[in-house]
Amino acid sequence: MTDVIAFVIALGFGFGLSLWLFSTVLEKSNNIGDSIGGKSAYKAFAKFTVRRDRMNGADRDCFSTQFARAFAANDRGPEGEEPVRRLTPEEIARINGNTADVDIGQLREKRFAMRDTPYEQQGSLDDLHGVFGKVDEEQEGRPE
Amino acid sequence: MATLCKNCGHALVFDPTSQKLVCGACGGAFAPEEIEAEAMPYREDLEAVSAEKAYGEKSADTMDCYVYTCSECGGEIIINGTEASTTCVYCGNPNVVFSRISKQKRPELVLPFAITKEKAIELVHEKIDKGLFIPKDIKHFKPECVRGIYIPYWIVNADYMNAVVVSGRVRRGKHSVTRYYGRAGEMHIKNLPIDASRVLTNESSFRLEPYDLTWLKPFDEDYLAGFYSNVSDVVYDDLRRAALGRANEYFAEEALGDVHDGASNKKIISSHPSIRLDRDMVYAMLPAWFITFRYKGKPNTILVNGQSGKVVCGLPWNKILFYTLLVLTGVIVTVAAFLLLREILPLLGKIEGRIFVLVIAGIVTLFVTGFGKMKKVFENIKRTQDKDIFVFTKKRQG
Repeated sequence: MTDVIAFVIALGFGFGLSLWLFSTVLEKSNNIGDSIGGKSAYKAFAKFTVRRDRMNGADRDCFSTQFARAFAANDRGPEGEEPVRRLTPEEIARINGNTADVDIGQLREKRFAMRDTPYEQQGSLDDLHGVFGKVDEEQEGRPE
Repeated sequence: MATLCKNCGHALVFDPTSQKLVCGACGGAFAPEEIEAEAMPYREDLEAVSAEKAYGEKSADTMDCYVYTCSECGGEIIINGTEASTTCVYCGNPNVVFSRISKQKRPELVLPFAITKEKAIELVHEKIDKGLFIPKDIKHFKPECVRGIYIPYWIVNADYMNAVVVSGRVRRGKHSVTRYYGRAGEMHIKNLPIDASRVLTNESSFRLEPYDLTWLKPFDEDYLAGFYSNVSDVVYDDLRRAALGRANEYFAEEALGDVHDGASNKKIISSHPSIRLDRDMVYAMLPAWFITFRYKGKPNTILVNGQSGKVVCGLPWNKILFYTLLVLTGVIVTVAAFLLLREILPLLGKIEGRIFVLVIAGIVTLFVTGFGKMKKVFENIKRTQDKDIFVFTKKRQG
């Protein structure tokens, strides 16, 4: 009897461990880049206004209906089967404080904390840089 | 129509390494902002004509096909209804369909490619060459086509509210019981990019994330030179659904993490979400490389984030090697465990029921997590072999 129990446990453990081991290797080997942007990338942190621990059956059943809130029909933002479109500068200005002299470029720079690309940091380059660079290289290779 | 070199008049192409438009003929290099689109009003009027109109015949082949004329060689370029930039199949020069990105259709921002085609292929090889279960044929794959595509995205802000009930197992003396926890609250999501192309599934585009949006630039059509691009074809409800799905995931993660109490096996059993998208959405082009190949007749598309170089794919596996190793190791561990248990069990005397249950639970956990991991791999392989993405990539001329 002991041998039978030992065999059943050993069989389960042996193949269970082997499956776990090789599925982990398979996942690492063949499942590449299987992740999405994390919540911190979009500052998606929940602020809990209600916490109930160890609820009984009645509390559990009515928790969602009691504390769920929904955006009102007139405050649900854009929806429907209409193609998504860019807003006009006037619409953007209205949304962002209704200021007539709102600079959309600045709004975007602030929203995304946009930074300069390397070539801008280096300063502007001569338009003909590439041409002269090429000529110089060619001349270097020429015999005197 | 291509943007032409100021020095020699040859078509310019955007170079991800230097972040400049470079001329293949004279080597000139220009910042995209330096190139003034002198012929812009003329270009905006250049419409892509539907194939039905151009050829005067209706057929399944000409559906969603448009004819555009290459500015360099005058050749006919066939594009679909949402393509905004492409390459001429005859002369290889880049062409931007300006009428599709003019005025209100024009994206507001663009994240330029930072990864070159060669680098993208190199990154793919770096990832797959080490894979134990990746077949040799795939490791030495020859791409059918490699396309740098600007994917249209809407970057949205959203407010979200939810009240969820979490269940979890808690120990109570010798047993464990199910307990319930309630969490209600709100969340604000900032700058979530949602792809605006219906051909690309959200499951695939989400996996290309993260993109570092601080490198966004004001849109300039010159960034599209040498790359392919599409324009938005989604409706507001598409964005709502995508944003709601992501918000649900993030809120669930927060709620489960907020339940301590020593609970295990936690899961959401009830949820009542509500979302509001901010009206001010930003239309932006984000870069990705699409690399296609066939393996055993099946199409595969590997995606590479054009900014960060993140490789996304689920590759077919070497089944013979996998099952051989699985069975061999299984047999070896079984024999070793059997010999060990045969010695240990008589020493323990009577096996206590609790220990037996724990051992069985441990074995079940090994199988469940093992199959779970395999399922994840199969799902990703299915996404990589998605025919729509393959066709989306292959259909482009060049």
